[in-house]
Amino acid sequence: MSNNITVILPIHEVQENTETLLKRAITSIATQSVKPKELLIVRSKDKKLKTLLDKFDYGEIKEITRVVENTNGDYGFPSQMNFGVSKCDTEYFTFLEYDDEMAQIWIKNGVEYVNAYPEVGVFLPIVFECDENGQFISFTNETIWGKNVSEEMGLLDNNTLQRIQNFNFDGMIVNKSLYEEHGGIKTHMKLTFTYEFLLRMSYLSIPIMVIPKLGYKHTNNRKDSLFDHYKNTVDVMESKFWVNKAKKEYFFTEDREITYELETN
Amino acid sequence: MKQTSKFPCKRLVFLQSYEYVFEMLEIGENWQNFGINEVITTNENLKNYIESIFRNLSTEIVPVSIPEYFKENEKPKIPTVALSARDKREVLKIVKIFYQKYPQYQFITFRDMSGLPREEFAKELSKSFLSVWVDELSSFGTFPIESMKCGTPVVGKIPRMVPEWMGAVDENGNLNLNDNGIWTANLNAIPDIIATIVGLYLEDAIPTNLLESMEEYKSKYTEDEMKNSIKEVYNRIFGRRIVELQTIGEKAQEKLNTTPELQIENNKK
Repeated sequence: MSNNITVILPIHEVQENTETLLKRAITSIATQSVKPKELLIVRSKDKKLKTLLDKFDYGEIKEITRVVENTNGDYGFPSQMNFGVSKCDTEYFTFLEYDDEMAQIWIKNGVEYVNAYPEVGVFLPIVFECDENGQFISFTNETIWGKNVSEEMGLLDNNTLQRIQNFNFDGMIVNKSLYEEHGGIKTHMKLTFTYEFLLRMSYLSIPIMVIPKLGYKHTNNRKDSLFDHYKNTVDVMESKFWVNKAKKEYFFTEDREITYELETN
Repeated sequence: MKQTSKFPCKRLVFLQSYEYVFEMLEIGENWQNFGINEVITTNENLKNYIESIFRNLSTEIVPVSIPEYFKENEKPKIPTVALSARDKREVLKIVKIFYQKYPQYQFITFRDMSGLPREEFAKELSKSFLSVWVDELSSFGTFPIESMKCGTPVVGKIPRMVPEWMGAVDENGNLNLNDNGIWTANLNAIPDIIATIVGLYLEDAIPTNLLESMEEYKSKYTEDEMKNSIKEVYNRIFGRRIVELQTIGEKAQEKLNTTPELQIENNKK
């Protein structure tokens, strides 16, 4: 089964257990039943990280692995992603956070569903949410296959997103040209960049489908992760602000500058 | 059966379900009492069953056929379970227990397939990743075969009369089930089996032996097989009928030849 999918893996710093987590993440790419065309690691200019990646044993996927340095100086997740996409040579891409794992069947299913539904621009996996010990917490994205949840079973639409916000785009397989044409992930959107991205795509009539397969294993609130950081630094009022902001910003493709200010009404 | 017993013709029984064999008969009555000794049925099990009840029957088999529009869907399967049950309460019970025991699988949709037009039925069945069949009184069971042709694995309750495609009882009385579905004698286990299959479906891990065994049935029970069988069976039935009528004619002729008036006339000649 041939494919046209790149896996982007953004990483910007070395923490205590980075090497262990990275090894697990890369093993999950190496054991894919259908390999991606390329594994594109987007790193920061951190020297420790460069050394780690230079020495890293990529095993049998060494030949399809490429490491690039994000030269724009912003190492936030959205920026790392957008940079990776700009360097990606395939028609579709997916991404893997270095502290997560991709299910062995994910790329295979991506290929199958891209062929079956060429009109779909974004494919989301059912995400297996677990704690740091790998214990199951819940699924994410699966609700869209339930009866009367969205306008069409399996497809995530704008009205549904207005009602339900907790969708996760980890591991999504995206058409590269649609992604770039419609602004990618916004770097100024803190906390709700996932939500805003999905709202914008659905608003622009890009079909978003949930592939009814467990495609991604996401470790929830890992210590020192981005969302752990948000959990400790963002209060309820600010959370509401970012949700409301996402609901306003999705009309614009442009990544406009936003600063948090307490809403008075 | 009783009302047509005096009709001047040959009558035969089309037997598709053993459930109704005795429905119109009084205790002690049988089909032969009403001049019926030929039967067309759909499978060997029913043939053996009916011949064990009524002796000296002549039984023919015209196998069931499944239309060609029962085929695999071009798109990947969706997380919907197609349900077919004789007793609708069983369906409801399975669904309720499933959602109660496995709330993480609330996104699985169950679809009662009864009442759908045939082609739409086939289309819906081919979309579903799983089907469930509960029919205690079934004599054959086309639904599981239709499922197999659609590439949809079936979870089924083993009926009282085990269909030929499901398995067979060996000489020691052991039931040997085929791998072409997930067959259980325990109705209460079905929600748990569905949950297991959901888990396998989500991980693309449906057992390959199940899928391979189902594959075999894609070329079985075809319309061509049925048409050929109908030709052969009716040729035999008409052949027997012709012989019967010839025999009747000959006997009648003999009878005529033996009447006193005819004998006198013959003697004059």
